[in-house]
Amino acid sequence: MVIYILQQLVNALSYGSILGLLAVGYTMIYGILGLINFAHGEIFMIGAFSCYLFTTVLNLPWVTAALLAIIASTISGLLLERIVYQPCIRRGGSVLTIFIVSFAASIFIRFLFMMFFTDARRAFPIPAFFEKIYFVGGIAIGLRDILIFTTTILIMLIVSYFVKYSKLGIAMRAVSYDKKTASFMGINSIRIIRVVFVIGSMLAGISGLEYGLSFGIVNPSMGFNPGLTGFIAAVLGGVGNVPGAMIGGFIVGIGEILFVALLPPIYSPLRPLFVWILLFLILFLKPTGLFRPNVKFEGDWGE
Amino acid sequence: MKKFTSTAKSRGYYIVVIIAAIICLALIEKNIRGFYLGIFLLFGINAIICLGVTITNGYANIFSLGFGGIMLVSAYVSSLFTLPIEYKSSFLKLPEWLEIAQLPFPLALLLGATAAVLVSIVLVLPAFRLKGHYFILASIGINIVMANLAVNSRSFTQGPFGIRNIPFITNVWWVYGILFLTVLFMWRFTHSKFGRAVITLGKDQTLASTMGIDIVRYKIYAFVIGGFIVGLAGPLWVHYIGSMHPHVFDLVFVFQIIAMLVIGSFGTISGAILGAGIITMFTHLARPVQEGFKIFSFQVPPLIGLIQILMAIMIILVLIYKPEGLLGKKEITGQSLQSLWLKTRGKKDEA
Amino acid sequence: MLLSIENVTTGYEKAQVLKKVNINLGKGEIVALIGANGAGKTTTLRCITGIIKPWEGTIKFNNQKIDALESYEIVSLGISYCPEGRDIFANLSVYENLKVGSYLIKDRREFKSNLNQIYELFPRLQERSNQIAGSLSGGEQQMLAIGRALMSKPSVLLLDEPSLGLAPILVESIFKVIQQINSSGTSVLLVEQNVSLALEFAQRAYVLEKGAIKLSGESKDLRESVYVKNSYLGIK
Repeated sequence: MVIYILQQLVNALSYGSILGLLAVGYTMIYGILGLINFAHGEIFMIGAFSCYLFTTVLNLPWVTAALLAIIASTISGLLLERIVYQPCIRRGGSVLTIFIVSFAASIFIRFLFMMFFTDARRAFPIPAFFEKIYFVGGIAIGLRDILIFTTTILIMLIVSYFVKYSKLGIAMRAVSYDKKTASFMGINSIRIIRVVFVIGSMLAGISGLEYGLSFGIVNPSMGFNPGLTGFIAAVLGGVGNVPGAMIGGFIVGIGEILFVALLPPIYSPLRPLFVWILLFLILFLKPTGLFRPNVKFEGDWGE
Repeated sequence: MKKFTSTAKSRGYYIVVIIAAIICLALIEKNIRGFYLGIFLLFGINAIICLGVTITNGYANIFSLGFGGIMLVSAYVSSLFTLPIEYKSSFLKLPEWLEIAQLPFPLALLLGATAAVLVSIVLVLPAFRLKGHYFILASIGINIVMANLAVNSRSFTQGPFGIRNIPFITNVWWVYGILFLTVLFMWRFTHSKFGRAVITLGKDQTLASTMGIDIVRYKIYAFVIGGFIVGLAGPLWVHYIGSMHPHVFDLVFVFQIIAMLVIGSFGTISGAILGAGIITMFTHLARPVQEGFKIFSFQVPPLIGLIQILMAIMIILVLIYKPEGLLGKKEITGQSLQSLWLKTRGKKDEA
Repeated sequence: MLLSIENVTTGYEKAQVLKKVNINLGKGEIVALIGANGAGKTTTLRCITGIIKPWEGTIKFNNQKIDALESYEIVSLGISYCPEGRDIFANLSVYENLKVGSYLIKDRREFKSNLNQIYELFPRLQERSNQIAGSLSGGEQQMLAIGRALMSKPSVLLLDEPSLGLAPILVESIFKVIQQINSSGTSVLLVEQNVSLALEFAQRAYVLEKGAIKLSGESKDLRESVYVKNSYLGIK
């Protein structure tokens, strides 16, 4: 029994990493703009799916394809910000308007890919050396799991360090708190917002690659569920709080896996429910999330 | 020229309009079938949904996306009472009283709407504790949770396969009768003290509470009334299509309704109906295009998903350039039509 | 003239607030802008910093027109703004607030020396350098706001109601600091409701009433003016 749980926990490490990266991207964008980038999950999909396309259609080696995929998702995020969000914000769009726009943008991206590529599931290319598996005391630990986990932790440390200590990072936190006063420091908020989108989208793209490596299957509609779960994890961790989002990602990931592992199989299809119930519980007990949020006004539109 | 006030003359006008409408509906029912009848019916049903959502999201400013889940519940509940008994006994595992239950449509409809009301009450309560984005997230969750529950309650819903053989009861009279009543209700609502309280609440909560409006109570009322109205639309929908499954009112469906309200407007009756009309027509007329067509003897392959893509683009454009919707805050009324008419005839309105 | 507001008329949406206002700030001066609530003092500062644009007239800094620039561009030219209500970043520490203030300073050593100078001016800030700014007292927040505005070594400092809500002892020390800043080269445009205080520390002043300049001149002359005495100093 213990072995079984430990095995599940090993699997959960990858899943938690994927969710954590997504959550961090969400939380950074929410923190700086007060907007839920509903399309974040689709950027995640673009990361995974374009890697698949680059290897199969363009026959590129995996590493090149992966790097290009990250670039693709970063550019998508930038385009999204420039074409859709920026005009809305500039015209003084209300938070509600921006939310609906992001909802529409996510539908647009998802159905665009579905239209061109159909929603058939494809096998994600996994380079041979990723398939190595180690056995430690009866538990199978894949090389992928280790790589995914360590890469994620590394990225997290870099991002956290960046956000906390670098000049740009402090500027980002200043802009999320009070855009106007930040401009009195000579900070060009629009540039900062762009930087946040770039970072967030890069993280989403990397998360997509990790998902592909972990689960092996990609398709255009793959972004919706992880996206939503990632957002829940971000909310759990306190919006705008980067380390909180990471921890939230692991809590949700490990929670989901354990839910399926510990309960009898008939309950497995209820797995999506678990995440939502977890969310409802946390929001009920601590409406602002587990850790301190990083925004001035707490998502309230009662203007 | 006198204004359109509640004089006997204007009442006369309204009665004429209503009689004309009834005659039109009768003609339509007799002569139009199939594809075009479908568009007509779905337009009406979408209009009802939009009106219901207008009360919650528009007037009371409680932005909730949970109406998909509410409609799912009302649709399942109502159909459990109208499905033929043979179907129920063969495919579902229901308690005995439910299995043999066969109610006339009006009762089933009301039961469905009541179920919707119950779900709404449960859903609105957290609205007080959760702000803005958190509440939206929770309302999205309701859709997913309801669909998930439907998938997992095989004995009641046949799970992912959905239920079939729902009797085809919906027709123009049902849809447009209910639509008419809904519009009437909303019209009276916006002019009543109760309705104005809700609208004030939506515009400015602090102002409303200083005016003595009980925020909690009115929000619940608004949400529940909205839930009831969409709860009427759910059964109408499935009794037109004849079948349903857990994902019939999923987030893509919710998206389409939101598209209607974005284009029409979020806070007016005419906006809701106009938006419903535009999107319904667009989705159905664009469907053949989606299947693939010929331009200059070049065969364009089927483009599944084109409709959603175009709708998404439309929403984004409208939100960027005219976020209030096409109608903004204005309603189309007898008065505004009259002044429009006068303007085109070159006369000045003696306002 | 370092900073000049020339014939500026402006307001918000449809409400006009300022009417043909002319204000000059010379190098090394402390100039005060006094007037009652709603006279348009804060609006003037907002216009200088680019939050609102003048409907008519122009604003020049070092003989360069700045009224069409974005706020962050204006700041990068050397104008620092310390708004009414302080507006410190409550989610950041004292040190981080100061670091944001020096966003435009590229050189690490310059940043460090500026930081030390601010800590010398405001030793309390150095004591609390790692404390979250939201937990500081009103007076400390004011010191932080001014210190932060100074981190970029501006040539012009715009101060909006620095004495608001502070105990008299604190007000005294803050104004002494303003004098120190001024003597080390920063010109100051000071908006103040406390007229006697403003006239004590500024060399010149403008009296703003209902959006127009009613009086202007050297502080010592304004102090003796019957009008100012009656309307603002409460001396009959």
